[in-house]
Amino acid sequence: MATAIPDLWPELEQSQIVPPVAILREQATALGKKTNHLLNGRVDTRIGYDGKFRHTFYIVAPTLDDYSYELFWIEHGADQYPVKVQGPPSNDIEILERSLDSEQELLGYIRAVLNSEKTKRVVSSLLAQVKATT
Amino acid sequence: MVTFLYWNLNRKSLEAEIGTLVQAYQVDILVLSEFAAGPVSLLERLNSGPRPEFHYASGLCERIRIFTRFSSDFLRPTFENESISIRRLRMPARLEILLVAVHLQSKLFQSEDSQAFQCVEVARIVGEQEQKAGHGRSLIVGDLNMNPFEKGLVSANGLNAVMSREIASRKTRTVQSKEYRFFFNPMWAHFGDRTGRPHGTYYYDRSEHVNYYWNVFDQVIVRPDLMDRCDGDGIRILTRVGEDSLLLDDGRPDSRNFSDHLPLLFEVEL
Repeated sequence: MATAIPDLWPELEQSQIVPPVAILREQATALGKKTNHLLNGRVDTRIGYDGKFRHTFYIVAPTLDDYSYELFWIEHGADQYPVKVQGPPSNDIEILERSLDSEQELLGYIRAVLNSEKTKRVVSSLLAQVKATT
Repeated sequence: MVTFLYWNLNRKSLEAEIGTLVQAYQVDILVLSEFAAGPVSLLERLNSGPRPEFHYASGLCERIRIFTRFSSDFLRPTFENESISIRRLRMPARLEILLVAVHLQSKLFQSEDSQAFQCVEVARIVGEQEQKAGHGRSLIVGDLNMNPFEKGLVSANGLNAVMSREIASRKTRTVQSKEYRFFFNPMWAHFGDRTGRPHGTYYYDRSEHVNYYWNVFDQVIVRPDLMDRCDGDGIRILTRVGEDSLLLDDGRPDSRNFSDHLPLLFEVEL
């Protein structure tokens, strides 16, 4: 009788780190709630040729024929940090990239993007167009 | 015919020059990047004649500004980000197209590989918008900050933009079992030392081993479905505005008085 091959895995635990994409999805949901779904957030995830995960955050206006504005993206490898981001969001001509090492840094970055004058302009302009066309 | 003018203004105002070009060539759609002036003052200039017909086709891509001779309702944006503004051009009794206005990142801040990856993104976004629009009639115009022969422009998963109509008319090519749609890039024909024409749209000279001097960064690229409606030979790189030359005596763009890029003029039959 053959000997049973043992399960060599240890007890598996899920990482306690909040995945960066979960933070983005939460902001996408929050935008819909704040605007009565006149605008929604959408997060698309793709895996690049280099194996990195890229999550892109869009603002979508369903009543404007699903017009989409790409607000920002973040990118990371199998380890969730560091996260590569574009920045600073106020830079209007050249977009530089930088690396964030922790959830706290990522939260700070996303807060800065969402609170930037540019994002406020985009949201306010889209809301005005949505209301003018409905 | 619908007449288009594209110009990267290098953050100059140049309202008088734009007004002269629009009037001289009866431009219908004006696409600008690095536009420093406000849309209001340019609109006033464009509409200073007896028939005020120009409109500002507003959008949220701050690097691109578009003005039209017809109602901006016919040129609504469907997708935008920092560098791209995609509009559905839907005029009554005319063929609908997707106008993809771009101003991609400069070589000063990105490696050639990063620029190529950016083209992969552009190609993906255009593909998505074509699927949404239900047709493949896209026209890309703008400052790509890359020459037609660079990886991002020619790679299958990039813009897949070829120099030959014959090849583009095959519509797609297959690489490693995946099918990629072609673009036709008529700007290949605008390199070199041909009499009476500039050698590119942008001049750059620096002391390093590889230096092209003249570049064709400003381009018009069309899907095969639009090829027969856009006369590649008719694309003009303009060097004069009225009596003024946009070039210095040595033939380089006069970036002190005008822009470091030359404007593109072309027509599309819709």
